[in-house]
Amino acid sequence: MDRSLSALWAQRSAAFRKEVAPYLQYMAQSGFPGFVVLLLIVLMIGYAGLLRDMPPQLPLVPIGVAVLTPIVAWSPLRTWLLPPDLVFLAPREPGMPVYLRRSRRRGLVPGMLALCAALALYWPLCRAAGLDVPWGPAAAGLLALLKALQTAGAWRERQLAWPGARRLLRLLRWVLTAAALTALLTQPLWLTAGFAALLAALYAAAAQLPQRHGMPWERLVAEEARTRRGWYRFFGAFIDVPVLPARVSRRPYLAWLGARVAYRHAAAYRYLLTLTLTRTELGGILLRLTALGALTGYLTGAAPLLGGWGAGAVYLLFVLIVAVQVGALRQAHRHSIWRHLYPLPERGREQALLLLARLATGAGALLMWLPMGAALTLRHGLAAPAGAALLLAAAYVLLLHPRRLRAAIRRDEEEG
Amino acid sequence: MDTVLEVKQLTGGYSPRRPVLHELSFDVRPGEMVGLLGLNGAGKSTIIKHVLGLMKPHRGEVMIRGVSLEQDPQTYRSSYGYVPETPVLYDELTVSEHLRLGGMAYDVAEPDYRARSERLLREFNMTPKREAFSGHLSKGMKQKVMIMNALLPEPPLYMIDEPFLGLDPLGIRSLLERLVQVKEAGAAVLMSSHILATLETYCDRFLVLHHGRLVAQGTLDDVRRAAAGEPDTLEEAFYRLVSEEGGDGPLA
Repeated sequence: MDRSLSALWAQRSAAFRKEVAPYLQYMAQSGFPGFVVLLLIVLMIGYAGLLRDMPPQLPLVPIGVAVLTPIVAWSPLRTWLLPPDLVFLAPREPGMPVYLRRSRRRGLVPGMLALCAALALYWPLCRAAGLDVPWGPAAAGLLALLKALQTAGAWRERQLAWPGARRLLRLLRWVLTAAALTALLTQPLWLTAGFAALLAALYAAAAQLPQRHGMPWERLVAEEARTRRGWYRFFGAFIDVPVLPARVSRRPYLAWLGARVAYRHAAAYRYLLTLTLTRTELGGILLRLTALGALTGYLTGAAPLLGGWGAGAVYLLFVLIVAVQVGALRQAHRHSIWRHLYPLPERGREQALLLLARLATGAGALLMWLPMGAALTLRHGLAAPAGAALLLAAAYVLLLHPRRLRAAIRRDEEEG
Repeated sequence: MDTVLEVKQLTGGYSPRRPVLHELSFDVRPGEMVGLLGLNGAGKSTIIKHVLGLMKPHRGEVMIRGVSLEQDPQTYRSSYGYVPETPVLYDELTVSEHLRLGGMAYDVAEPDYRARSERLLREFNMTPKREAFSGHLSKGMKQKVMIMNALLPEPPLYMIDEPFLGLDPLGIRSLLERLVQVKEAGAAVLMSSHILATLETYCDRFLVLHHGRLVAQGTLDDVRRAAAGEPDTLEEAFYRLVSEEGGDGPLA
């Protein structure tokens, strides 16, 4: 039984690779890899500049904790489980540990590699800044152990019966991980090891309390569906992909955006698309991208990268990425039956899409510009690159991107 | 105007070479409820899709209040409310946001939208769920959202495809009561269902569809007369009409 479940895992893993292979090919042809390489080169130039000319007040410990915590704590799990498994695989639950062991192993290897890459970038910065951070096989071993423990913790969270308890325990794990990392970057190693053991015991004790399932079938099926949606959303930027049901977050802090749309016949599409933008994963991606762009803008502006012009270039790259993401809104409800049934003119959808694209990309571009612009102008008096970046971003967001988006919408309409 | 929906000589289907519907002609008048009966695959949903304008007729025409979809899409689409067999909702909208979007799409005046949506939420016991996302609703509740959205604009024609699937007994009663009210107010209702006893109680006329052809249409008496042996109930008449050729001749 166990061997057949292990074979099933391998079969499903291979099936997913086969399923996404054509999309990977489209992605490779799209010029996206070139774009990523360009972005990496720009970032590496900035990184080298930072190593050469380290700003004295750069808060390296908080940056280290902020960068390393998600890499250490994030523990995804590909289980390939599908809704029919609740009926057909559930009777084989006793054999499932073999199946899940393969999933855990699959998740841990890329996580460890990401951790190594992050450390390879972070330690030289600490050395350049003259920060006395423990380094060596013992520290790396402790980090690897911490990462492996996260997999166990994340599994326990998946088992919890109540979503509230699950979220709370996950928050606790992330906070404790951040605390352990802070200790690692500021204290002697032996002290950190003891502190981390204490935190792990605290987490283990907290994890005993809430009710849990032995095998959290529904949670795993939902998580798998979310991961697949993520992949398809990514591929959707390059080629038409099957539409998977969207995951929805309420985001009450953005509720005013939908509520502000006036109750009018002509505003129906704007109302729908505003709610789509604020509640689906697209909204989450835009928020995270804007935050990352703002942080990168601040760091490259504070450096200042290539006399401020490098900071401007990185900023414009982020504006481009945000615009591409906002453009994905045109796929929302593209095949919805109500588009053909509601008494609404088709052009109304296009107008609403263009307006929202301008507003969302414009807001993101402005929020990302502010920290970079402030760092460049106020700290270094470099108004020219800051102003040029803002002007170019405005021209792209208000003129070029809407024109491209309109052409893409009309192309979609012709394709049906 | 003496008809709301008029279907003339409609032949249609997914492929021009293999029509599913053959030369169908019928109408639905103001103030009447017409039941659409047929086995699985008989063509009920295909008729509804043609009326909705989601499929193009191979031959014949479909008019709502004397207007075809090609003549005036805006008027045509404003003239019907539709409840599909499977609820189709936006995952990221709550129940009350669906009602607001429906009100905006059908250009219902804002005060009317407010009053009607409150009343519908109350009648269908959905007030506690008004802020719930559609993904968190049971199938019956999703169907209630579809029904409320169809009722909100108070259109002259209602097209309702298998509305009772998943609805609880109170939901079924609320729906039927509301359909009787809109019918008495002058609206036309075309409803397909397999629950023949309910159709018999509530519908004024019937369309019996078999292999894409109308094998009987008219009042209960007309349908009974079309079936062999003039059975007493709609269910028995339907059974005889679809289990024999053409509706006459002895039962096997």
